[in-house]
Amino acid sequence: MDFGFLSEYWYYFVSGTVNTIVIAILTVILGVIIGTGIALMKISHNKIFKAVASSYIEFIRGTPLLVQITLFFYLISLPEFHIFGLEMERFIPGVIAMSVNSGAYVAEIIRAGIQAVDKGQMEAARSIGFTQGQAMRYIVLPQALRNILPALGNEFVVVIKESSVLSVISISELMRNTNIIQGAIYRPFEPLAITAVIYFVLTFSLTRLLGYAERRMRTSD
Amino acid sequence: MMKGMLKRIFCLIIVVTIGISIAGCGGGETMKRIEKTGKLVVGTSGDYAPYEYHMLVDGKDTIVGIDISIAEEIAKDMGVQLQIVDTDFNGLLSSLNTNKVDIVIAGMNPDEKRKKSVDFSKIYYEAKQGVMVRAEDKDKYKTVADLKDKKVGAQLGTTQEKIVKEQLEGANLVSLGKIPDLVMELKNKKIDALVVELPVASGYVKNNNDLALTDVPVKDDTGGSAIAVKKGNSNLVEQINKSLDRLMKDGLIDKFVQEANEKNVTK
Repeated sequence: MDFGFLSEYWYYFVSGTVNTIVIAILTVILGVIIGTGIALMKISHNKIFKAVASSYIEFIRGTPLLVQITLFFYLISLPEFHIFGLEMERFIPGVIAMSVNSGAYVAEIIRAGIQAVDKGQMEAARSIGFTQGQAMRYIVLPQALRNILPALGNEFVVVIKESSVLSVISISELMRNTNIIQGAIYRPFEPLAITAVIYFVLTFSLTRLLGYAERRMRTSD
Repeated sequence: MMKGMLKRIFCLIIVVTIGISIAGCGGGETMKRIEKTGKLVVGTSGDYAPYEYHMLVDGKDTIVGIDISIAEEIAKDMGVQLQIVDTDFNGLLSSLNTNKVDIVIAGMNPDEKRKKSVDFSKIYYEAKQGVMVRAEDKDKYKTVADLKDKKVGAQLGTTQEKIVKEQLEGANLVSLGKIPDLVMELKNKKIDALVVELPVASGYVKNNNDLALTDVPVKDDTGGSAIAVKKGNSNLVEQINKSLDRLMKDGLIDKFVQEANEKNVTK
């Protein structure tokens, strides 16, 4: 084991880690937006909405992320342009694919969260004159949020780990940068070991943070 | 009336001949673009040390290597600036044909399939192929026959893969997308040997005590690495060949190879 290369290549780990975090945050935000829409469609009473949402969830959860990413990369072709040194013609399809994937899982999290709220809450709200939409917005969703947030945190952890798949379309996130270093220094093992540690530190600190937030929420009951 | 007709046909023939001969000259649209922008845009795939690899130079992420040094010389000869674009190896030729880059230098072998879609310069470096094994097994592998029934690795879709299939009779091919992954398999005894280009192999042998090069003879029938140019740019190919001739005459390419090999030894 020889980690002498770090003095020359530390920058690639840092920039890769930053990009991975940026990708994960964007994916979770977009995933929540997509997921909320799909979840609401799935619990609605409209049959078409229900069918669309169900097939979306089934299809996305039934195909591998790797396949989805390569598909999106070939389907969405953008002109080359750079933002903060990131190649957007790769970055954008990559993030979209990750979000579409994450959206399906988030939709199930949100649906479960909403359905876990006691039915009586909705009925009570309706009986004092709330419309369906108002009851959902002011009574059910705020309570569902308490069920949803911890699970969303886990989804964040999953997205950080899964984003490593984006290296197949050469987005310079942590895994892709690791490949670059492996090739440049002729030593395949050491960069990989460092990358594993970085991923672990990222996900472990996030899990801790989530655990803390969860405890705080429980005490506020 | 007849006279007028003849005149017109004659004119038409002249126009068509001139047109064809101009087109035949190779138009040279790439050359015109380079002259107009004052920039030579070079496409490469920065994960193939020592040909091209990433390195921090003065705190900035830079691509260096044999091919980049050559590209610098070509740009110098043309009197233009050099711009490097790093993309996937698979996508290099299509970005050449869609004018995203002017030339491609990526340790690329000019094989028949690639020659159909692009033109190549002359070969600037005859990379020999080598068979790499674990150091403790070095004495076991001397001839092609020793590799019979062994697992031999090669990079997916490369000349080396073809070599294993065609020249190493009875060897079981294991192809993976990335050379570092193959090296890891070799080190962990998942494969027994690995066919790679010599400059790459010597980089690994220098940086890993547990790896060694054998004398197993393998040949490369594509002849080496060349620079790819979009079809119909014979004037650019000529210009590149001129630069390459100069570099080869002065022995600069061997110097670049040596430099690149020394630069990224980490020990």
